[in-house]
Amino acid sequence: MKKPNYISGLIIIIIAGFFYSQTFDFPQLDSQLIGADFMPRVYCIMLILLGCILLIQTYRDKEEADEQENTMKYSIGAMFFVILYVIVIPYIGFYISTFLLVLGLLLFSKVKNKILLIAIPVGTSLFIYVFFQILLKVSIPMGTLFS
Amino acid sequence: MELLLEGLTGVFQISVLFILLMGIIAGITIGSLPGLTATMGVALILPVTFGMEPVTGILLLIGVYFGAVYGGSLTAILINTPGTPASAATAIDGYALSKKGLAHKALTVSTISSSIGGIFSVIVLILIAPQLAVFALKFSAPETFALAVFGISIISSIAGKSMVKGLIAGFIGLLIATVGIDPIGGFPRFTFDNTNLSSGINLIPVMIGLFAASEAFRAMGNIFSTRKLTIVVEKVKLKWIEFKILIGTILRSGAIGTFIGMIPGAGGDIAAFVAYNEAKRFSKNKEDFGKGEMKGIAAPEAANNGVTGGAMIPLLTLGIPGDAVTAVLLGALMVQGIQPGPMLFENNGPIVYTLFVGMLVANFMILIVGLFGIRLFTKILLVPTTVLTPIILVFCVVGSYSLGNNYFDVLVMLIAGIVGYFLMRYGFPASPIILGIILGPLMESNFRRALVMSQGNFDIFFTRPITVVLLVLAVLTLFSPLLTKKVKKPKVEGDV
Repeated sequence: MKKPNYISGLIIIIIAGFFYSQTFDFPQLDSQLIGADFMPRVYCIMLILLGCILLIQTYRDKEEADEQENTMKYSIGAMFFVILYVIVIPYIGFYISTFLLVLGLLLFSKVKNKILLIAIPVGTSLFIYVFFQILLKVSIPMGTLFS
Repeated sequence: MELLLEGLTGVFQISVLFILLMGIIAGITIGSLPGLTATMGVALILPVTFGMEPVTGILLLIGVYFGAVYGGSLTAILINTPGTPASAATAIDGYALSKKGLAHKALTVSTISSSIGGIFSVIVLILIAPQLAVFALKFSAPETFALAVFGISIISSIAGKSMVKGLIAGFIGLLIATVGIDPIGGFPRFTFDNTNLSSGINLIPVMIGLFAASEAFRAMGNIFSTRKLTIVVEKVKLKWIEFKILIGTILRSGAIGTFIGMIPGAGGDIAAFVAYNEAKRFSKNKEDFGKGEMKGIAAPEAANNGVTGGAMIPLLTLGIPGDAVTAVLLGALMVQGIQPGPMLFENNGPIVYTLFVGMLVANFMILIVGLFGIRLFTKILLVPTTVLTPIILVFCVVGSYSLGNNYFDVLVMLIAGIVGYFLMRYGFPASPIILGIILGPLMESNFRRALVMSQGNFDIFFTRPITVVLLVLAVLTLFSPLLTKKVKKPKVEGDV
């Protein structure tokens, strides 16, 4: 876990530093002793300090901690599927994209059963239609291509 | 008493009872699926409740919460994989009994102990909460600030392995909470001229992302390690004489669970292990524990369900969530326009008592559903993760969209899910982030209000007794993990 710790520590310091710099743009009332910028600055300084502690701790920690056994490949793959899904919903509508997402993820995780490959995507879309659109009256996006 | 009667009429309507029952069934289903926790269940079902009456919606979530805590024991007993961390202790003797072919008996003990533990804790809740609320009514800005600090200090107990990482997560949450209009002056902060950001980052999509989407992403990484399951539940019944021996253990464990549940930061897993150890200490046959002793199931189950009622005490009276699930419940209450805290009992008395009665009914329902549906619920274990994960991801997207028909919420959920996955993977816990987002505004606004009261004099935080006590408690809580580490000894490795 050494390398990820260094990277996450650095990212936290950079992000906190950026937010700290932004606090100088906050509009202020002169009469206020503790203004809108006070707490965000405290949080940023704490994050920078904690980030440094994490770096030092990691540096001083001799043992190379256990590597995680599950691969990230499939998790990251799933993220790309969902990102794509969220991008296409406004265009092709919710139901078609849901069908494609579920089918895609099932194929991605190597499901071979043909009944499942049809039933789960159709079932999910149908359930959302009945539950969210009819019962809860959520206006599900139908997509610009079809409206 | 009047309010209790009002609560009774509030709950005993066909539609409310039906929704509560649905919640319990959904909860048991979610809890018994390994990898799906009570928190994830409540976060996933949350968007469904927005269209409902406040009480009905909250009762649905309470049903899911209680059901999931109970459901976690099913997998613990049957396949030695605790469905939720809170049932890790149950797995020790529960699985031992299953191996002997006595799974049905073990599940019956777990069902009865769960509901008795739960009922016990709700009764304590009904007795204590109103008193505590009356006391908390005296709180003004400095006390509320100290209370929020105390609430945040429990981060150290829920931080997991690394305290530094837990604190980082907490401060990330606090920083996220500052995005939007500042609570006192009304100035925009970190909005980057984006109109969506000026109202702040909505808590609910963050929760759905952190607790449900990130877990689903993680499950995708494990899809090829799922094993084949064959579950046979023989019907060997629990005898009345066997049950009589357990009553003492159940009541004691229920009390332990309720008490631990009241302490913010100490959740069901700790309660279950403490109760298990106590049951062992009280027992004449200590060597039976670990080999299928029924007290070893009764104790942790009564305790982890006892936590549910106990955890509601600080949540409802002080507005301080003790763990991730109650944090999600707090978010749900706030969305419904119900602000937990001392004023809740003044302003929404009937709602509070309806919730109380609903919680009692929920525990009775667990008993009935559990006793009659055990064999059915064991079938859930056969549903593979590969099928579940895509459905969960779709729910995350629809759920966060349906909050306000706003696409921005979906983006927030997705970012929270992806960031949450990497945070979890590298040992940063998710719950402190939520705690920070919830308690940050409460802390900041009361801090600044207190300073306005004192005209900028910081003495106000050191001269008021309740404020001092709460701040001292906060410091103690922050350093308590160093002490309690010895108490919590999880012996079972599980996918929790």
